[in-house]
Amino acid sequence: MRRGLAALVSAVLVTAPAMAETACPAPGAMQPASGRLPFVQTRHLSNIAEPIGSSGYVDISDAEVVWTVLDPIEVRTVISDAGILQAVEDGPLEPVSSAGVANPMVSESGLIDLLKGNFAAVSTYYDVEEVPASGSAGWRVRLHPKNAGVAEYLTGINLTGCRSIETVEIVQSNGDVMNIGFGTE
Amino acid sequence: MPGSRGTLTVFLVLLLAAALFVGSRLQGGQIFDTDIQSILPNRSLSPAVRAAVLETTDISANRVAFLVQAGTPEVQRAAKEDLSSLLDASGLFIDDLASAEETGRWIYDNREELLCEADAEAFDEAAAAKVRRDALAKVYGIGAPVSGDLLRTDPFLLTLRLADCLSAGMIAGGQNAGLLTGRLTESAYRIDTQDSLIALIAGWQDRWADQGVTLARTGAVFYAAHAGNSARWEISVIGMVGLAGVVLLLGLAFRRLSSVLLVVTLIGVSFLSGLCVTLFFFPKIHVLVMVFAAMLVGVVSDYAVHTFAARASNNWPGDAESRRLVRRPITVSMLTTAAGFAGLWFLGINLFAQLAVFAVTGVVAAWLLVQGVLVPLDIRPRAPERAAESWARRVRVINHLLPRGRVLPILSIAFVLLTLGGVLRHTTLDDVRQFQPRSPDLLADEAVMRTVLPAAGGVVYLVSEGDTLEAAQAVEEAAVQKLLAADPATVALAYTRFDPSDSARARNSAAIETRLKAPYLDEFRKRFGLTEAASPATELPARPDWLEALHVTGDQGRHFLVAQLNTVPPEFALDVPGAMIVDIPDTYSQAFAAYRKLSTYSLLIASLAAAVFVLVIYRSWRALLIIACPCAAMLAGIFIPAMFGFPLSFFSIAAALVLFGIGIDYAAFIWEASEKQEDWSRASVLIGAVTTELSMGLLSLSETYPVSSFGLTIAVGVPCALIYALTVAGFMKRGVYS
Repeated sequence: MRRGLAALVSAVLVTAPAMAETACPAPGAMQPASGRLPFVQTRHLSNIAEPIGSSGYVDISDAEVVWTVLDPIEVRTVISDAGILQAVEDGPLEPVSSAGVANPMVSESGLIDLLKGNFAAVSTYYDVEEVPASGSAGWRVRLHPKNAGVAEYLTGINLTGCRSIETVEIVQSNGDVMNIGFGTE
Repeated sequence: MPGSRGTLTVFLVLLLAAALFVGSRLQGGQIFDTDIQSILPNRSLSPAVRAAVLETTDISANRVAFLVQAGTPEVQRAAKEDLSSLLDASGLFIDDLASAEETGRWIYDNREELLCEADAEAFDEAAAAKVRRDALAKVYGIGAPVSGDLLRTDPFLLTLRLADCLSAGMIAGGQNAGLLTGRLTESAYRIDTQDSLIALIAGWQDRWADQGVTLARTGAVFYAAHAGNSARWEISVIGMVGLAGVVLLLGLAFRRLSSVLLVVTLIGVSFLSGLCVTLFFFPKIHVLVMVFAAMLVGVVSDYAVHTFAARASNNWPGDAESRRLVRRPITVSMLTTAAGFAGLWFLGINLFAQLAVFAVTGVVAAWLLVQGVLVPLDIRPRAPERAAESWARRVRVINHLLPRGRVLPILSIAFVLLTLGGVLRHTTLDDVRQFQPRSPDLLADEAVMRTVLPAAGGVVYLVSEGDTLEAAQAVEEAAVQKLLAADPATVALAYTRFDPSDSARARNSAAIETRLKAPYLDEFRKRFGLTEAASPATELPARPDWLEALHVTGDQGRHFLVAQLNTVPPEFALDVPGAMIVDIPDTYSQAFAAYRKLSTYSLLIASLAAAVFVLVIYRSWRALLIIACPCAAMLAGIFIPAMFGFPLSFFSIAAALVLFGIGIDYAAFIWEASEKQEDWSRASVLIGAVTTELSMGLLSLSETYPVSSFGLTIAVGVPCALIYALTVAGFMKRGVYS
């Protein structure tokens, strides 16, 4: 699951540049992202009546990705080659996990490669299926996890976008769904 | 002893039976033990604690860990998955992830009675507030594996917190990046397991090396494989070189192919006899016994050489006369040597018990074979007079090589002075960590692995004992609390961190209730729209197998919990009744030091037994000089190497015991020669001494300290034994040497 999310986030972050008016390029032709992107995240969890929403922005640079949730609480997550650090509310920046040398989010997801514009990393972990986009011009991609262990928990990931990814939908085997929508700064 | 055809027939039947027995045991499975623990004393820990620790160390000995590293995550992942597939297909390896679900389930079901903190008091308001913050971050932040079901039943996500903190130091958890951990399905000490695993890894490395993939690995299986290969090399090289040297020497001395063949046969049959009887009493023979058993080449060939020399010097008399010529010296030698080796039995070390059985059987077999088989098969030459003249010439040449006159006392005095110097300057070595050479590559791998798994290669344990599991849990909890207070990184894996005592569970539960749930649960219910409270588990699930393995029930029904420690702070004193810290190498090093001192009693016992033998046989107080020479040689063998910086160890003393038996051979043969006015015994003793050096003395070249220490003592002691015996014989002015 974390691996899926990681690759997903990576794919999302790659697509940061603002959409252009021209025709949409293929997903693999997206450029490395940089700068700040606002997002809105909604979790639809099974057996939880109301969706759980959060929003904030993500900052992207060559060295790191900083995912900041502002509402309903402040959570700042810094992802780099060195690992993942997180600060909650007014707390200090601390490693997310104390176990191990690295975190799968960084070491196995291909996150750093993706940030460098290597969309092929996604295909290391997922079978990429392009499906016809509905409605406005753009593309729609469905990712199916290759690893059986991951597939046990993660049904698939749906991405839509044009010059960048606009929406992400993560569908888990237990029925939980997470949606992330990206806007422009 | 009749030398009839019937004796030969009985010999052949017994030989066939022994060969069939050894063959059947070889076919039945592994008969050689390569575990270094097997050479350790049996009584260094109380039997129950020792059993608990050994059971746990057996389990930890079968653990292996691999760290795959590469330039890119993709290559690393692919290489790791390839290695995982290969290991899985081999049937030799069970990935820890196989029990991850079981472990997760255990933590989930116990989440409200477990804490990351060492005790409930440490779970204070600040800790509870952090739990709240972290749970919110996981729900609202990026990437945390939070499901609806988990959030509903575990709103503070205690399961994730516990999985993170409890797995921080344990091997079974925390798999990440290129790390692959698990356990072997077969014993790490099986040579076929080692060979299969090493071959599998070598094949994998060949495939991935050109992509910049590197592998760090750790586990007893790799050290055992290295040690096993080293011992096998030593057996083959030292054994073959020694045997070749003996064959060459005998060929030059007796100029008869039949002599060489008979000696080789005698050595082979003695060896087979020893192997057969040892396998009868022991399920496995330690591989070092086979290295030590090379000494049989020297001891056995002494008897054969002496018999050939006696027959050649007496114009190849009849069988009865031949036996009469050699019976007394080789009987004295056999009895005293057997007594010396038998003394090894009482040292309380399985390795030496095996060696005692092996050597005594081999020596007794050789004694029987020389009289019953060798004498009748050593056929009189076609031209006996010419052969006798030729032998006499060689005896003169050999005797000429030996020091004589004033050189002998000068050499003896020099040896005594060196011995005294060694007594004054000697150092000792009892540290088992320095006994066996450890592969630098594996040590480097272990250092890398320790950055990922702090407990990798760990050998320090906390053993907590109680009448019941609950009592043992309480002891361990008290000890762990003290250890964690001294150094939070001390405890790698402890039973009660996952399965606390009932009283600790109650304290933990109360702390969670009052400091976490009371202030924050309503907020969480409202925030996430949770409509029902988490339902506590009504029935505990089965403990994961790795957790069960930390709990050992002794023979007396006592319970032991064995926790694995990373390091123990210096000067740390654990004053918790029922708990003890067991540092395996330290414990055994201390035991070896104690045995080094105790084994000197074996020397005394052997010396006294031998003194009784010679007094009974020779009925003369002067015959006690036969014992004095090897006693002085023993001291020389032990202390002269110490004079030159080679530390004295338990193994030096063990070798001295064997040296005593050999030294008596020389003293007895020369004594007999003095009595009978023979001139050929000195030649036969010199030939015997050289064969001993070629067999046992070469053991000093071993890379394994116990073997080299043993070999060096023999290598130095044998010439001393020879010189002392000749000096005393000359000093007594009895016989041809005066």
